[in-house]
Amino acid sequence: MRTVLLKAASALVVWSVALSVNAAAYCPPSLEDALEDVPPGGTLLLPRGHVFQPLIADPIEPHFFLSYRSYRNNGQTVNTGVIGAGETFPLWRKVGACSTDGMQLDVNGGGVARFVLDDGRNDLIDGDFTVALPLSWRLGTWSWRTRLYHNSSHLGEDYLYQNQTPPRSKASYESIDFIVGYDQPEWRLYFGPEVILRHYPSFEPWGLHVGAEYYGDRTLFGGLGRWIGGLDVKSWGEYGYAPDYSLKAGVSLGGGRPQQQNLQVMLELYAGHQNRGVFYDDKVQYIGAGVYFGF
Amino acid sequence: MPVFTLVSERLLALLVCVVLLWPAGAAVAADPAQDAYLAGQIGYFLERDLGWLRGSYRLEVKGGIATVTLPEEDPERRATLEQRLPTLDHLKGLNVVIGTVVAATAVDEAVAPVYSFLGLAPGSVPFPTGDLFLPLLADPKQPQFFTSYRYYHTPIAGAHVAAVGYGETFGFYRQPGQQPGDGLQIGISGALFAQFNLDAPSADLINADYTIGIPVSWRNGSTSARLRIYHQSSHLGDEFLLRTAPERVNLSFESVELLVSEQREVWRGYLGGEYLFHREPGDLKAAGLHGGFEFRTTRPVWGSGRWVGGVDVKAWEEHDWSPDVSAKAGLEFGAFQPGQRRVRLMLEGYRGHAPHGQFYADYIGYYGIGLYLGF
Repeated sequence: MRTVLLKAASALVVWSVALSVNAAAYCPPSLEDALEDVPPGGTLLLPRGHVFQPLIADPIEPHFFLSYRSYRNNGQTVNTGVIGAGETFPLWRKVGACSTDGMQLDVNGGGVARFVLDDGRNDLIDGDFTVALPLSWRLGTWSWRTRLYHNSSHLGEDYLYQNQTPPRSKASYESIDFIVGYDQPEWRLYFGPEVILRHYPSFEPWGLHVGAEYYGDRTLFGGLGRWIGGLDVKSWGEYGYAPDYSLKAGVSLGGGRPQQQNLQVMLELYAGHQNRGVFYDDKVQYIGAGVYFGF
Repeated sequence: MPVFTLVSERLLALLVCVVLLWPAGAAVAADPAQDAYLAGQIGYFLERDLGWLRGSYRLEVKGGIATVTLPEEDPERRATLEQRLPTLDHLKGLNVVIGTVVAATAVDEAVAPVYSFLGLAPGSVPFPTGDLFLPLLADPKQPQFFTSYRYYHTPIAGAHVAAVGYGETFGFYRQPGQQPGDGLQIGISGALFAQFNLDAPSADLINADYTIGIPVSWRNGSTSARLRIYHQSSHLGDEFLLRTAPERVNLSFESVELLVSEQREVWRGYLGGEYLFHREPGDLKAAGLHGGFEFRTTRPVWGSGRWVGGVDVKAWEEHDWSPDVSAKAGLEFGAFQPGQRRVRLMLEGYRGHAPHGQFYADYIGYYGIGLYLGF
């Protein structure tokens, strides 16, 4: 454990130094529209926008969405409807030297429910509830977010009635994650570790998280839309650091700014452990399509 | 050698390489246009500090001179703007003029009577921010983000409960009105409401209600309305189910709801009803009435705060029109308009039939305190 901690800390130091060196006194034009237009300096209560953009393809990022997903698990196909209600609510921002720089405290949370849609049913399989306190920071093209969050997952009553002896009825955990992001005009790369503070049932605590995102400059439909996509990869010590892949790509309609009200229609692919829900350790694949609503 | 060690060493090496080799982005630095930046600053001041609704004015900045267009002469607005606009670098002047805020285009003759009746104007706003029908303050089923700590009196026992809600309304399209802030809008609203029993060993999930609907909202001056078709399904919590083994009622319905609201200074009243056109259990009676009033003071409290409160009453045919009363009052910070951030801390009380899933037949009461977040 000590070795792991030392290596994780070293990685963070390297990233932090790189962040400071590369980003000093640089106000990236590509991010000018990423935030509410705020004069540099000073503090804001209840600001709009984020200094660290919510992740597109991370399966546990709170969003409002509706998705249709076809799961494959142990050779079986199950068609599901997934509903998510969640957002990141900015509480406070200290604006940096550039209007896009600064530190921000948010609260975010969400609920996700999965329903089986086969055979005309709409049985609730399970539901997750998440609440988090993210602290994010941006300096130039570099940004980071650390987040303390709680997640609890509960079996649906329909599942319980049909399976009187489920393997478990509940899973819950508290965790801290840390992500460093690097923005280019149309791209973002991100990386970070996560450590689970408590998990029921027990779970190897360390995980790694990397990803890439695309947010196209070229507009579609007369300026109403643009291409977006993201690849998110997580690997957990619990599974021998085998990677879990989440890929989402599609069109974002609405505001030209990333966090103006927008509607995203995306294809979704996933291969790996579920990592959430009561059956978090099931290895699954799914393909689907979702509509995401951004505020 | 542990797998983690191998993986982490490789990742660390990769990380260092990426950091060292990554090109510094400073080469493409360029200042944003000064006028656009000024427009952002002034727009921010108008909407956040003065509370002007987006769309109720037009702002242009050219050569460092800002022109604010108002739809009609409004001495109070003009004076407030001129007196309170802060000194901004590179701002050379401010003009306040009267003119058209919404760009005028011709209306098709076929729909002109409809436009006239509804007070609509030409133009379109895709994915508009906010809603034309202000969210109800005291309705327990208003889609919104909140977390509440409550003490419940139920027919069985008292219980400390944590109630959470995740929900919002998202606008798809708005037909603007003849006056700023008016119009007709269609969107989608969804929410998840859950209650956790804090007296149980693991804070058992008792019940979760899921709603999703298509609201059509309209505003013409002080009068607004919302027509909403929505679905609700309710599910008992797993731990509650395993621990207490209650008789299950699969409550699910689709409903159409109409509310009309009138604003008079700090007061707002609303009245309407709904009809469950598809429901399970099938013997559930369909009709319901819904009304209430709200207040929102204008005198600032602790900076951007204000006192708010509301009483919401629902009466269902299923319960022989017995009223279910929800009251909430407290402090609101931020902007009250939908589409802008706000936080409310409110005391809350409820007496009536439970608004929680299959417990709809139980007569309950609760009081508590809640934190509400608005987008």
